[in-house]
Amino acid sequence: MMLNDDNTLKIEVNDDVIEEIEINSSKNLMYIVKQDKCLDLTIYLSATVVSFKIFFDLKKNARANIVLIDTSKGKLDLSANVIMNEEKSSFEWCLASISNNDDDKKIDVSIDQIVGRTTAHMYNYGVVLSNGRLSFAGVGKIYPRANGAKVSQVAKIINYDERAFSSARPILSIDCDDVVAMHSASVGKVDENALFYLQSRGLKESDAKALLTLAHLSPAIEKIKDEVAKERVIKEIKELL
Amino acid sequence: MHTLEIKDLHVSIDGKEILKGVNLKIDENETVALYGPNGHGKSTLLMTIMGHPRYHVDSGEILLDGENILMMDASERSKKGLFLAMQMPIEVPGVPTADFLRSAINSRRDKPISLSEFYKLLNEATKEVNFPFDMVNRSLNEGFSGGEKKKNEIMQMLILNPIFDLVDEIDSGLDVDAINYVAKALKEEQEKGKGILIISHYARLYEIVKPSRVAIIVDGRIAFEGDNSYVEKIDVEGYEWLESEFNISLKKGSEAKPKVISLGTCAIRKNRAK
Repeated sequence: MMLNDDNTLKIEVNDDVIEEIEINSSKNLMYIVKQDKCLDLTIYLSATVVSFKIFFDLKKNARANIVLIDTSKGKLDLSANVIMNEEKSSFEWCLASISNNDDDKKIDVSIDQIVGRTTAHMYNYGVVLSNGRLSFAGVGKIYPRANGAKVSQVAKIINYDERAFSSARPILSIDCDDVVAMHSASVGKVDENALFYLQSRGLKESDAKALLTLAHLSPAIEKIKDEVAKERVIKEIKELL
Repeated sequence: MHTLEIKDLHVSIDGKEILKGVNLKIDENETVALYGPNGHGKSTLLMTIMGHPRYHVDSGEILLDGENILMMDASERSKKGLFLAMQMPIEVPGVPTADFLRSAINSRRDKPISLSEFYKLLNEATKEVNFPFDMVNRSLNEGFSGGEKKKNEIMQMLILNPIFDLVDEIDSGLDVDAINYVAKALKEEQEKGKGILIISHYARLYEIVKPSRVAIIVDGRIAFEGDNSYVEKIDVEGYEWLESEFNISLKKGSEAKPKVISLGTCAIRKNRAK
């Protein structure tokens, strides 16, 4: 572990690692995952972070599975950059983010698949309450030499209020013919019929919204390995609603 | 005695008036078969009683035991004792059926139900409607067949134990065995003294769940009420006899307010003897 000139904390992953970190102020992190190694990293953004930059450099046959749970407050500028410059590496990014009162969050994730037989999946799920703002931008670049690369992007945001602002932009830039690629994005209001269905069985509106929100964010929440941490996140999200 | 009374109910959806003055009263221990041509307001009436926000009540009252429930949301109406078994149950991905049911039960209790009590209740209800128990761990209605969704509705009704069951075409799309399970569960609701307002186009269901009476909605109003002998008549003849025998127009958008026909047993016998 070392600190670069630009205050980026550089971490080399030399063994298979399962790690959880909590970020509650601005940080720059860089993970270098060495050949054949695996990083399972769960990141919790809480309190006021403002700026969070994270870099991943994946070596040959390295794997990184990243879960990021963002319940931070206020302004957030989050960028994640992934370099896959050696063969057979794989990367999965799964984010759950809530933007509430006056929060303004901008989340950019870019993945560069430079060589062949690399796999990258990006899932961004968000919920915007009250007059919160949330923007997702996912950029996947497939370089000319990246034959056999697989890439997918999903971005979904639910707005709970007329004043909420959200945008989701999944971008794939593909310069290679031999690629399996998929992307999708949706931004919309909470499903009125689903809300009614739950309420018609006696659930209060706030409880029904909590169930729907947890369901929407479940692809990320369900990946939290620590059951105590998972319960804490669920409780925190319910309280936000 | 519990009562559900609808008084001069006018309802619109997106500015279009659908219900144009519905009057109907249901007591506990009573099953009312709600009939009517397609698109004349049957499902709208049930959705409005349950409190769907898309259905705008322009005027009128819905009284449950004398209390106007129009200001209550669906959650409060549910806790007051109303249950709507839907024609097209909503799929809710990511919400496990069992978690949802437990939340629904707890919403009407001071102390949360214990896990053992919950699973006992769930086990009994799934058996009652022949719903595979392991499906309660799946997301609510997601990927369920039509029959499984309908059984899930009835299972929820049994678990939540309402005072009035509103049942919207629960038999559509069911195979013979599934209809029998659903009908048996509804018959037990009758035996428990529940009030039931049911929509079905098939006499087969009514062979088991015998209605106390029939109400026919035409162009947003209850245009005809009669005893349960009209189940067979509608099954055989459809609705055209309303025009030929009672001068009730089956056309929608008629300006003239139709006269509401209500027949007691004697009047029915007299009228049907030809």
